[in-house]
Amino acid sequence: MFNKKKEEYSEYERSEPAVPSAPDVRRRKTSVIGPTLKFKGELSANEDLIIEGEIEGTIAHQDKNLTVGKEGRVRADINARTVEIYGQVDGDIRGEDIVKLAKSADVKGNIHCARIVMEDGARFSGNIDMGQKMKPASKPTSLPIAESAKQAESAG
Amino acid sequence: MPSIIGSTVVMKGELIVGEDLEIEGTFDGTITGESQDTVTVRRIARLSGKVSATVVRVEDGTNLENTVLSGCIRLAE
Repeated sequence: MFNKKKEEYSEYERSEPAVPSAPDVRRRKTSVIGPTLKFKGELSANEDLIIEGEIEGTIAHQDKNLTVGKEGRVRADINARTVEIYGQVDGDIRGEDIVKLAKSADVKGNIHCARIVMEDGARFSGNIDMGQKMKPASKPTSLPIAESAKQAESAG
Repeated sequence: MPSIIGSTVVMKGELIVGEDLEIEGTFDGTITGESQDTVTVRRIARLSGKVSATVVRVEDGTNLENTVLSGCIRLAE
């Protein structure tokens, strides 16, 4: 298990958000907050959400995936099934399934989740609470990093 | 790719955008377009408040009750 070469963990080096193409967005029912968009207020959604702009206020987004892209800046508490952070977040993050902080992430706040992945270089200031009940492993997640972790686990 | 506020999204507050924006969800508040881009309001959208942009494109059949639009308003089928 500890003898794996670095190449076998190449998936962990992935630090770019998987931004879908326009047809993908339509097919997968994904909302996109673009890089020039600034919003102040309350936001809730029941579909995947990609934030590349600025959000200040509250985000209620349970049972779906939320991605804060590299250009994204969020000053709000975040609730979602899976949360991927590549940009800046100032607020508490609650990920029902998993929270991933990429190496470009800058998070100030507390994280509540069942599982967490934090890449080397990620900046984080706060507490992590992993006391949440973990979801069954059979439930798929869209995070490639989580899938590669499962594969590595089963291989080793 | 434009910003897309999907059909299940509910937003209440103030929004400023400098790129194309498509609204399919529910928005209550003010939307301000900062550049020469287009704000498109889909038929299924529910708007309440004020939309101000260079071009506001509204699909035929959209419910615009309690909504003020300003800019170049274009109706689309």
